[in-house]
Amino acid sequence: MNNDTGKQTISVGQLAILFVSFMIGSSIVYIPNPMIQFAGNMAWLSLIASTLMGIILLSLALYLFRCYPDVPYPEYLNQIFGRWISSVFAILLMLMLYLMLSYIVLGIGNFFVNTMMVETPMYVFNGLTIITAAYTVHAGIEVMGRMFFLLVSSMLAFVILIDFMAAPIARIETLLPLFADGMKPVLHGIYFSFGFPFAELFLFSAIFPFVRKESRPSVGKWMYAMTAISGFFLLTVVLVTIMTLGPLAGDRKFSLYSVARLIQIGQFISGIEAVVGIALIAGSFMKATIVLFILNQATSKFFKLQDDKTVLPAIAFVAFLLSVTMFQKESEFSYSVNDVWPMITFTVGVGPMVLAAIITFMKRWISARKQARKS
Amino acid sequence: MAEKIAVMVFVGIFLFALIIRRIKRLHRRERWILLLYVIPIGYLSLMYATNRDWPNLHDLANLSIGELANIIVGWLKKQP
Repeated sequence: MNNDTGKQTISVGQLAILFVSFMIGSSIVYIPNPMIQFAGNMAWLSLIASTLMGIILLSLALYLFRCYPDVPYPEYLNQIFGRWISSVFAILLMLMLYLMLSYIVLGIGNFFVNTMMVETPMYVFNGLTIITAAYTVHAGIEVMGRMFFLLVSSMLAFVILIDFMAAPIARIETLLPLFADGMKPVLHGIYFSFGFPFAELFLFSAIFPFVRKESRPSVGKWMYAMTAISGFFLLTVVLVTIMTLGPLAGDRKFSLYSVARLIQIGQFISGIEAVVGIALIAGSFMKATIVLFILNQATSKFFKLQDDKTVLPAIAFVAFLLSVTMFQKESEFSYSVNDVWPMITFTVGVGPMVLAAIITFMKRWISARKQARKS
Repeated sequence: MAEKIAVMVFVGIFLFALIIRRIKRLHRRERWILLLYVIPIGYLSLMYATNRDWPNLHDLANLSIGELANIIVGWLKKQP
């Protein structure tokens, strides 16, 4: 459906679908292993803390959405910080999104090359992912909202299925001891899991204005619920991984896939990991598509383009080339994602948003006091 | 090298097919902005085709924000 200005719009339900696919998308595959590596048995506590911090960040994003309902992020930074400072933030955001998109695409290629299709060159997966994502973005946000419903449903269904099927081989005693190495591992887990994916939710400020006007009052309610659901799903995956793989949990890459390989029920249900792997990778594809959509929007608004599809192929092509040229070794990729990426989201994403919320609040408070004095 | 060039041509054709009909209708300013992308595309294509390890976007991030990240992660990893 289009609004008065010809812009595509989505319902609040479709926004929720996009949000869940963005939050759970790639993180369900990539979060458990490093989380358990950093926080050990206490990874669940780090995840709960990150979810709560994500909810606080979401409340700031929603506050700014209420103040600037029709202007997407980062465009409203122009009204808060002025043209020059907001342009710096916008450029940094675009660079961050290029990194993010190429990391997700590279992650998909990495997953296939390491698990299911070890002899196929990685560029095949990177190329196909970016081409499909570009065509999906070209179709528009409403198509994305409709299409992702099926993909998210299948992904979550498989996650629930794995959780239940892994129950017979789960051992609760592997969750002990608690705080064996003090608080630092838990803080490390929070640093990582808040940076990826919870701090990334600020990007949804760019999508809120696409929600139909009549649905907007319920956006907050849905978004809080979906953040909690995303946190819950990630939490179950981390718990199942620790309880089934035990001390090996931190060493196994793509933990949920490894858990699926262990599942064997009777003599007839085994080898389900291939189907599970495809469902999980669908999550990464959805996240890549959403990031490409936001990057395309941010670029079009930055250059004030009349047609927002003009630069889409060029952006997608740059992201593809970045994904095939960035890393020579896998350890470099792990370092960039596990150590540096959270700091990028804090400085480029969370920092400007918190500052924008504080300045907006102060401006409104001062003008409200002035009006009260006049009257 | 030929394989890599073929990959880039293949991906490029599929992606730019999305706007091939619109290019003629673009304003001059929009064409210039699109042309601006030739710089990163050319640089990264050359890097990919010749298999060179030239500075990339993640190096920029690692050398700037990465230093701060190293300090924090280093402290978090340090055992008491």
